[in-house]
Amino acid sequence: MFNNQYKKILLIACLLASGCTKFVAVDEPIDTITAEAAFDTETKAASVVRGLYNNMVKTTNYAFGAAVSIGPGASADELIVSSATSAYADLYNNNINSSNTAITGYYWGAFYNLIYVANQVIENVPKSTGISAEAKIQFLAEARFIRAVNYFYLINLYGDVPLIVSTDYVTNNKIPRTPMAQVYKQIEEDLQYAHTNLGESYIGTQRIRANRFAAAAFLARVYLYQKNWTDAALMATEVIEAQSGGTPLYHLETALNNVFLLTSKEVILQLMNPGTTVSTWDGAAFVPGTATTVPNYQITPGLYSAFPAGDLRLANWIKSVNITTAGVTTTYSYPYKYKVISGTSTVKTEALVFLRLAEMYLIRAEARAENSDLGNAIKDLDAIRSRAGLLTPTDPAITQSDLLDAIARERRLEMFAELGHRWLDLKRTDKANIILKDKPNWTTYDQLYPIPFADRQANPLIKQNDGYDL
Amino acid sequence: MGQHLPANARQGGITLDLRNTAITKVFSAIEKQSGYGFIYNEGAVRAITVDIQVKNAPLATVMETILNNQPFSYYISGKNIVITPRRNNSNIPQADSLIDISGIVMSAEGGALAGASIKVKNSKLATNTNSNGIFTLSGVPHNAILTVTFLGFAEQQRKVSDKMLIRLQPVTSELKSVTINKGYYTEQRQLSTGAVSSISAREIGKQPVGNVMQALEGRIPGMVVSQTSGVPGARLNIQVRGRANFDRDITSDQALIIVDGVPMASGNDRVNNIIGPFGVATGEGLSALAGINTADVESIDVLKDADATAIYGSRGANGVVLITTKKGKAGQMKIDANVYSGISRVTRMTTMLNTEQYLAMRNEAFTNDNITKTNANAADLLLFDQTRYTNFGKLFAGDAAAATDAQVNVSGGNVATQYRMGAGYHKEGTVWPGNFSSDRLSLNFNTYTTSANKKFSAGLSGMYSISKSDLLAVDLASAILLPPNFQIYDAAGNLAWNEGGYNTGRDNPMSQLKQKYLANMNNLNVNLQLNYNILNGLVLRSSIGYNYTATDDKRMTPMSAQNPAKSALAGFATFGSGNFKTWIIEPQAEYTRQIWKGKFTALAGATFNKTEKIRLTVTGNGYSNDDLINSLTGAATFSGTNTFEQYNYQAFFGRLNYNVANKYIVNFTGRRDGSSRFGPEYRFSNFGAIGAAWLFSNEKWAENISFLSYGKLRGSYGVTGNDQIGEYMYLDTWGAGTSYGDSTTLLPTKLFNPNLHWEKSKKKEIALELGFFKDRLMLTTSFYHNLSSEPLVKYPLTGATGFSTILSNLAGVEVVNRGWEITLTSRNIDGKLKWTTDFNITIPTNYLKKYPNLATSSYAAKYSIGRSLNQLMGMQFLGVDPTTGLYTAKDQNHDGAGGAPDFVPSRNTDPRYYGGINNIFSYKGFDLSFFFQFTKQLGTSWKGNNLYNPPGMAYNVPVMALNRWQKPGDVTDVQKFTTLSGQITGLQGFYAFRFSDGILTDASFLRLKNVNLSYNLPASWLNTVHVHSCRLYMSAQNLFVITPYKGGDPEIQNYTRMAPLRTITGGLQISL
Repeated sequence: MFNNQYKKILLIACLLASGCTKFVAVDEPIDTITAEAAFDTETKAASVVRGLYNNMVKTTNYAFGAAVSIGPGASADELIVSSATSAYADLYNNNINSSNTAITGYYWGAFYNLIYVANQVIENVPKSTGISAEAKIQFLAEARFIRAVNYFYLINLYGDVPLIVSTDYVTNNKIPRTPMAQVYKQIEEDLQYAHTNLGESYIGTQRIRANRFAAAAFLARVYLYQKNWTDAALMATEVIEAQSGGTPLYHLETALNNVFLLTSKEVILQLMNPGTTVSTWDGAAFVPGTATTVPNYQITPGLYSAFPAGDLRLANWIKSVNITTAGVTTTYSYPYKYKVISGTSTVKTEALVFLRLAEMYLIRAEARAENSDLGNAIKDLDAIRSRAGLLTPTDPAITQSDLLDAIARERRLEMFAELGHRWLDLKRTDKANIILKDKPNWTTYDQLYPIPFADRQANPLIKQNDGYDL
Repeated sequence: MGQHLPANARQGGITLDLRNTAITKVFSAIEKQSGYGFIYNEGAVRAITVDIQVKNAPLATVMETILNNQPFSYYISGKNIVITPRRNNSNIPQADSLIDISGIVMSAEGGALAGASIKVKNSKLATNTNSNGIFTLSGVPHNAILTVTFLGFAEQQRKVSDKMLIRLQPVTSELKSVTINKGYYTEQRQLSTGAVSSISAREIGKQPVGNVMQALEGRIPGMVVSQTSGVPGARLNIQVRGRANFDRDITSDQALIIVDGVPMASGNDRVNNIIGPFGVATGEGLSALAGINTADVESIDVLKDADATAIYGSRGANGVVLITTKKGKAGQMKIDANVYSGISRVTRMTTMLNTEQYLAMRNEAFTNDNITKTNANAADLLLFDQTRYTNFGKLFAGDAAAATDAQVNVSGGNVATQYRMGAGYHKEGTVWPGNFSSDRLSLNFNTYTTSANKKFSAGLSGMYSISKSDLLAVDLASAILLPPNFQIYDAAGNLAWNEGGYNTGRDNPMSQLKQKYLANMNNLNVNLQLNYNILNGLVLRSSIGYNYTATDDKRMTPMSAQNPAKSALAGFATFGSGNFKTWIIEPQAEYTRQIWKGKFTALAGATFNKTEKIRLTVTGNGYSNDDLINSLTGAATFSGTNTFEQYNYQAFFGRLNYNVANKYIVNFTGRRDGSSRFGPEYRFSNFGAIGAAWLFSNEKWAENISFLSYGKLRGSYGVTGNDQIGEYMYLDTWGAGTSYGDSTTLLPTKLFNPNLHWEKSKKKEIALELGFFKDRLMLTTSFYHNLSSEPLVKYPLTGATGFSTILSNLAGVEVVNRGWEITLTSRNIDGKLKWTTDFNITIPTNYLKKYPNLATSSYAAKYSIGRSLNQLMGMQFLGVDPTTGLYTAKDQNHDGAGGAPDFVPSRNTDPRYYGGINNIFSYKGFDLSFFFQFTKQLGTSWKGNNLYNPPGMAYNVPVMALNRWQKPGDVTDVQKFTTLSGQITGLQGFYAFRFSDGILTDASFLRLKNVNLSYNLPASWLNTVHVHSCRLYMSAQNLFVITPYKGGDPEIQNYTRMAPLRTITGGLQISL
């Protein structure tokens, strides 16, 4: 009898114990979902992939939200930073410490955050049972494209960086810097996967998600940076000759003021700004709010005077204002590729141009020149020059080295204040030390940004770049 | 003995025919027929059997027949027949004759006292009363003296008689006899093994406060209650025994708040959904506690040490505040009405520069800086009227705020059922210009009933309140910084804007009067208590409760409240609604029995608690019509958010208490806890504590120490936890991002850590409680030591992982809060004139004990080992340089620049000590009390209140700034007037001051917190008009403060914020 009683008590205790673990389970929050749920249907996984693009420009001073155009522009010889307290001012002055918010938050943290989400997609999409096989490949290709893009900027700003291809933060917090060559290998693999697996047409009506040619275009750039001239030219050609329904998919916009519009046919990939007010963070950063405001970022006199007479880019892509302070009038010039700061209309006309055809012509020109195909190189170069109103053809007798200089000069004028092209070009062509030597505090070490202090505290295996103390 | 049948004894006789029957059965039979009850010592008569045959016989005959030849006689007492041992025939009791006695022990109010101790003097005979207060003793010398004692009541000595009714008077020393509430059980203070401080309705009632927690300020040792703002309804910080939470952004340091057994759904969190005038920082907002009617609170108990808090498991690490509402008392129906009204004004308004002084300051600054004045930098000098003067402090916070409070309550009942019900209304105005106020209408009810056999009882208590805030969107006090010649109204009396045609970017503060903030809050708290005495000593109980707070608020910014020069001028409005609800069921069983020489109590129970929080906010933009601003329909565009949070909590708890002769007491409490705030692997954990007490004054040897009337040594040790990290922190969460193109996006919001678990707190306490001179002087000294470990922090990761932090329990980190708490109560004069003094003081210490690799952590610039978590990290202030006239800070690393690299650990803002002293005088019907609150602390100086602007900019400053540096050689503490803040990393200038320990100044204070004078009209006057009692009173809150602090109030430490108000009220309380 006693035994029976004990059994009953035991039974009740078990019931209570099992009931209680259930009791403390909670309904999930309504405004967030779990990672598992984020990938359980194709629709939601597509939202995650769109989030990748969105996040690249999610706010100003973050990754491609103006930060990549301003900071490297200030590091190079393109932009002057007006505000002495801005994090970009240290970049302009080559007075960067490892806690500078630009090099910690705008680039390093932002790029790696984007890489983390891409890694989430790459890890979770194959496991999902709710996504069709074709969509899986599409999502993986886009995620790998975005991962490659972010690694490209990371290594070009910081040198060797930890190569992280999973989401396990415990392991990832202990990874040291990986040699650049190895990171480039990963970038190439990712872009090749994207190139193979993405379709030729764009998803949706706008060019705001990567297609096969976006991958090709970025591959062309990556090959160029690695001095793989043949493949660079090959990829650039693929983009330049891309067809859609028998007509060229891309062509140089004849009117310069149409290049950066949402309707631009020169665009290979654009990033659409989130929200309804700001069109592009670049536009919001460069164009002053009122006629009497000193521009935050001014075109350097060197760049301004580099435009030859008759260059339409000076008139169309740069704007000058006269501002009188305490009786003294000063002229300031600022980048005016994007013209809209914010619109009252909900219809946007501009979006950040991430890849455009002009760069492909310049890549092919450079690759062909390096491969001693000067004639074709001149054609590509003159395509860009003539569009800018420089109608005098390049002298066919030009030497290879003069042609390369001419192409570099053209890159400077065509791509100024756009996603850090000038800074990256100076470094990859070993010209930074020569051209920037008169910048304030310049040393050769300034070619690489320092690794953020906090990151080295959290992971001491990450060593600092030369020339920086902490 | 005993023919004492009264004349009116029942007519008609008794018929019995019983043979060889137990006498008790015979008694029962007589009870049925006669209507009389029998009282007898069952043990003494059990063996007796009788034969009886009577027919229609009188009761007296029947009794004589039965008791014939038995050693008993009887007598009649009321409706009872009492059987007593038969005395000797001689009728003269002999000294050595023994008798059996029985009796009942009751309180003066009539309740039976169970467990009272009965001792026969000079004998070993002793017993206790049973659950109905009845005792029996056999073989007691007939002339013996009984000593009757019961905790909390005065000892009584009585000569024995066979049937006794003993009424005990409660002792006057409330301190040790008062019943304290420990949530799941109550005990007498002197038997308590834990640290609990309480405040009763008497002290609460003296203070005309809107939020009941304000009544605790300075009165509870070890507890800091501080106001975040003087705006009515604003939240108070409630911190028990220091700050244990390491990371303020993640975990809360606020005590757990329980009202009548039900945890408040919103706790001490803000319940407003949109930003109101209460402030925008973490910890500022409207509090649900403001919905509790102060007058309905019977007591507030604050549980502090492990012994008291461990039974709250993972929720008790920050202390527990138990709010208990008033209950009805048996007796005639009593109607109690109480009305007071009064006014409040801002105390210590800071004197700012007048226009002449201000303009002189500005001109001096421009001269010092050698800067040309332009419209942009000197509109106040170039464009504003140079003679206009407005005292903005007086304009914006100079009004008298009216306060009104009215209460009516009905209570009463009989021994079986008691009730209390009533309503209250409280209204507070504001000191702002215009007609703004907060009010609260509340209803309360309490019933308690017991079954006839006293086995079953049930109680229901409930409160419902409706609070309304009709306020400004922004506290106007900050407008005191405007230049004193700023234009408020134009010549036509309309709001003025942009004087001189230039928009300085500073809005006319009077436009705020058109920006309203309206909030409604409904609060419901109900609790049902069921009790069932299943067996002797075993009680089953269940508590079922529900707490609900609903808020809706809105904030409107019409076009008329905005600068007309603004581009794209349009109105906007935000609407919010919030629902916070919790239900709790707590079945419990309690078992009490005598084991060996002591009383053993065991309590076992379970808690099931579910909490939900739902919020919704919608903002409408682009209103082109001010008249439609109250409605969403007038808006051009909308945006909104909504959230849902659920918290489930479940636990099994137990308590074992063993009390030997009220001398040695041990108390074990424990809890097994499950909380949904952690990942599935970590939801359950165990907490427990042991407390022990030794009442050495009850030892034999102590009886010889004549002056010592009470002495107790107690200690406790245990572990509690903190799960206040918010919901879903362990979950891998993805949220919606903004649309990309026109399609939705999803983004991970954080890295997730499924291994989150409780912050642990190990608490130790030792205390000595002493009473001298019959408890006229009571002294309690306690020392506590709380060690918090495994704090939840945002652990830094390299950004390469995707995020730079992960929420994690940080192993190896330990924070210590320790301190002394001393309370002293003295009845200085105890005659016709009574004078009592209560004093309490707390000397706390907070420090970080351990943090492995602190220097390389993200907290390196915030905390240091061995120092308070509230330390200031900053540069070392060197004063004003007599040569340059600028604030100067020390260049620790000699790099020629200031800023973070030069930061060193500095002093902290923890109070050195704090407490209060209360004096109460009573004479005849008069009662006078005054309560001082004191704190020794450092705080932010007035010079640091305007964080970004040195004196000389276009902001008004307190007159103390006139003491500035003027020429080389001047030695002073205010830098020269300048419009330049200097380099953010400068070693000289305003930033050098702002980032240094120079902002700290002595903010100690002694505040006359409360004065209360009341007069009870003499009973003799009242009887004639059938009034039970009538009391007239006057009360004053925050009457004055003595402080070295300059510029504003030492508690708020900011002259741009509304200071605590001085409130003076008068009232009348009448009981019918």
